[in-house]
Amino acid sequence: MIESAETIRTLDNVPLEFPLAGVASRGLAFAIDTLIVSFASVFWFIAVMGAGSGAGLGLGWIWGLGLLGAFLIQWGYFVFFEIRMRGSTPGKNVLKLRVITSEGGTPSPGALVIRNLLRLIPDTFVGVILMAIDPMARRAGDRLAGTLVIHEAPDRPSLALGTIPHGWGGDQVATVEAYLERAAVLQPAISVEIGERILRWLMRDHPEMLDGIDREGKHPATVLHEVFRVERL
Amino acid sequence: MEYGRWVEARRPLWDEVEARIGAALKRGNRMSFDDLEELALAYRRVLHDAAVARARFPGSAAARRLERLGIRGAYVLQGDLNPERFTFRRFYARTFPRACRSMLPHLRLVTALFLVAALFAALAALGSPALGLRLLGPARFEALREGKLWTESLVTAAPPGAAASGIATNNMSVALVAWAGGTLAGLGPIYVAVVNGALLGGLLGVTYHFGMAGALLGFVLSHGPLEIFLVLMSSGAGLYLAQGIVAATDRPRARLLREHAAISTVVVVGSLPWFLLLGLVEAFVSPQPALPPAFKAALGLVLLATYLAVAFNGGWGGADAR
Repeated sequence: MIESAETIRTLDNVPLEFPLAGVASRGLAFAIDTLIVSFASVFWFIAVMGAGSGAGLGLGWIWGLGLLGAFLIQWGYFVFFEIRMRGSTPGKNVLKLRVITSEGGTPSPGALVIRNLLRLIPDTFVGVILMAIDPMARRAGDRLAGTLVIHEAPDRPSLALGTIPHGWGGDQVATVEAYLERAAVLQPAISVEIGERILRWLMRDHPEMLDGIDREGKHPATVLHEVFRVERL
Repeated sequence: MEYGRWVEARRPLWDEVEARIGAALKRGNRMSFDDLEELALAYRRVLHDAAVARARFPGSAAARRLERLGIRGAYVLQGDLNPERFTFRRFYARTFPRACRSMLPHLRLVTALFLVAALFAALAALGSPALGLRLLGPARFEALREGKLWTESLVTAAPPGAAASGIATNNMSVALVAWAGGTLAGLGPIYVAVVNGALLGGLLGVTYHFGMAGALLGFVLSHGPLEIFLVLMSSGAGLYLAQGIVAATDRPRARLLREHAAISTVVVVGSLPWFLLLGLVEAFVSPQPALPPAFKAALGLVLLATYLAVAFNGGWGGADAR
């Protein structure tokens, strides 16, 4: 779910809307990552105990190595994965989230270290409140590192109209394209009703668009595909 | 402008840019100069198309695809990319010392706070030894009255390996809290510096009253100097971070914040590994009564001098002095 969007002016002052991740999706990603960190720490302890006992290490050293490893996993997990996975972590990857700079670019490793080491105080108490009230849903670490977390746009092709009636603008194009993309997943009766409505609209204002189109027995969405010569974009 | 024809005419460019961006992302944003130049030029044309689509056909499939391409292209082409590869040698030879010199005034301030707190606490403890009861708790205070220092339990309560790890991770956590506490307008680092100063001063005062100050110093000589200095460095870094948040300057706040956060992070990250070394010293060397105090003092000074040589190898004259 996309909670909000931030308009960032990029090269040549062209505005782009970056789909910001809010408290809910970031919290869920954090919960997944925390679960992985917990499992990794337990696994590390078991591995050290097994290997340490085999190598004849004393209990003190085994405990010491276990503790140190768990500490490094806890603090290093987010830094390591965000650098290796270019602004993502396994948890963020599940929710398709990515860390970017406030200009939309790739954050430096330094910025990723800053935003992740600043988890301790800010994220437990103040951080969640800060995120909730910040229009860009940034926690303290994001503000100091100059980063944002966004939803990665799904990489699926959408349907584009190949031809449109004279005088049509963005609203009409977007409406028809949105209907055609959802026609198959809408309730059948609703899908037919909306399609028929668009066809009546065309019959009234642009009857020439329907010339030579055989509508008999066809679903309105199929007819509209033919009328607008729809293509995958 | 007819939507369908426009999409048909511009689509090859969008496909090309999409393919180039995908290839760049697969290679971790690494590309040749020629590839970079071609992508940058094509990307600007895509941005212009995105502006047209946003104005003429908002919400359409073309506008959404161009928005998506614009975002992915910005990620590949823009960013804080440092052309120099990270190496530990370069970090400790150049980046770390420069960052440490930047926050010298802040280090001086937290050191002064630490010393004042230590002095006040020592005087208070000398005047009222009962303060030791609050600092140490009843069991340790009673042991002190009987001439036993609580530090002796460090070698008996836990094996040295576990103690070393516990000490190191605890100290690293304190350092990170001192630094991250800078986000609370500097209250965190000031608190850490004052509390640590008061604890050290108070404990020295109490142990002096019971004639055990020498034993306490004997325990802390080998690890104490560097440990205290590292906590002060982290607190100084926290204050430097806080300066980026609260300082009134004519520079944009976001830029100031990023600069102060970056420099203070370098100081803290560069100091953290030293806590591992200190953990080993504190667990294996400090509690050994058989080792002469002179040896412990020499070890403590060598550790501190080594850290200072690394942290301030370009001198003490501030960030720009080379």
